[in-house]
Amino acid sequence: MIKAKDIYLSYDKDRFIIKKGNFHIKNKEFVFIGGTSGMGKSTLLKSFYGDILLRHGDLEINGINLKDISSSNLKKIRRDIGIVFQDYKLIKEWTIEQNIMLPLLINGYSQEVSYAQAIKLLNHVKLSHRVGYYPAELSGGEQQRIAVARAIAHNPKIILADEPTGNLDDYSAEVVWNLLKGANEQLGITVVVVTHRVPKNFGLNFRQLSIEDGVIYEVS
Amino acid sequence: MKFLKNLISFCIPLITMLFALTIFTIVSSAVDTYKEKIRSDYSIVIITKTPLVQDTIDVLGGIKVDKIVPMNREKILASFKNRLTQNSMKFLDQRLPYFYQVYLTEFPSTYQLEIILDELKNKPSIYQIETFSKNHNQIYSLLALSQKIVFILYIIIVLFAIFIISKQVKIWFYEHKERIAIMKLHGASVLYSAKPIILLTFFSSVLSSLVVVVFIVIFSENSSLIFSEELKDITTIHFNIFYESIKLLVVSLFISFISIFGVLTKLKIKPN
Repeated sequence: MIKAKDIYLSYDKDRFIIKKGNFHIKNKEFVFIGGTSGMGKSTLLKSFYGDILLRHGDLEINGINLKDISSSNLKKIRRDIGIVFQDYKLIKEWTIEQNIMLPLLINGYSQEVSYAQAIKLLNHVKLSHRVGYYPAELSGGEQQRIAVARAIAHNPKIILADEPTGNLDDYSAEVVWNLLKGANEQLGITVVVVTHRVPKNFGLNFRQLSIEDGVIYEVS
Repeated sequence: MKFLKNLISFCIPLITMLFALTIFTIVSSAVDTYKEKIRSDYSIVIITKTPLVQDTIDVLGGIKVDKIVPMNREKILASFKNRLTQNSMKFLDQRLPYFYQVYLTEFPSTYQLEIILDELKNKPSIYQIETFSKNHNQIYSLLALSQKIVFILYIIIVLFAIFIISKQVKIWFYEHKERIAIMKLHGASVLYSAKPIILLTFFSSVLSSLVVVVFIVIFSENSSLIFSEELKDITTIHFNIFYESIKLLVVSLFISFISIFGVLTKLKIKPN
């Protein structure tokens, strides 16, 4: 659950990117955050995992307010979130299964359990034939599937995706959308996706928020 | 290859620091051996009017008195026997003071010697004291100076080791900043992200200690190859290899972890 009340976000003190943002994303919802480039979609998403400071207002993620958040609570929030980035952000020195194991290990699962889950997820994203490969040995689409697998590995409450298909061809993009839809439908994970273009014929109930001149509004 | 490079860059300052510690141990041990040697020869001479009740002098200047040896009075009288009449000899015997040599359990410092002098002066029966402070000062100062110089050098090397290791840790963090950032985004603590460097530091500490222990074993077997024959008495050091190994490992781990946790603390206080 994500609840924002009068939030103000900015990188410097004077220029607010988000002004007086109010919205509520309920559990198990699939939400797109749209808007043209430079409007602050990624900034808003970053604020959900505490990568940008909240200047004013209240922003609650899974019941924890990000206002004046302590370092331990921030870790707690992040451990309960799966994140998918446009540039994948996979650890290049690690094999793909090690990358998928990362959130599991951070959440305290044993090496064995984490490995078993990673292999299961590699099957799920249809990349079981790539066990032992490093990210650089995979195509962009495949890397993003690994990133999605990593995001759902520890069964988080929320998945945040920042332009997850921005660097992908149509086929790979469709695969990624299907994985995110599956996470929402089958696992009941709340999914929030930042994108400048909502896919056509998405085939799933979703809400759409948009940002214009720092104001967040609901697209009906 | 990269692991080996990192390992070497951690081992070099650690080995240098442990070598410095070993040299300090050797010098300290040599100085102590020499101090013990001159301590057993060194005594303070006191002259009293009446025979000394030795039990009244247990401790001088904070140092326990080892023994008080009366100087042979008869020998002094005998040297005058042929030159003096019997009456004069009798008179001399009555008036000749009592001489004692005071041996201490430790070789006193100049400061302690001053206190000893004051303490002895306060005893009414004692009217003359000879501490041989001039000779004492020269020898003691030389020993103290050499020990201090080696100690100062050791401290400087330790500080340099901490500085270099901290720099290496910072470089490691810089090299792995992308990985650490990804881990932090997933809620990992700084300590969790730093696990590889902590393990590397631990491994480097063990390896460095091992290298220096091997040196100590070789040195203790062949010290005559390094030191000349006249230094043999004071440079023959019997190392307890087990104790030395533990000491070096503890020092090495301590310095490594001081450096690493210094950097980690600095990183931890930075937002996100």
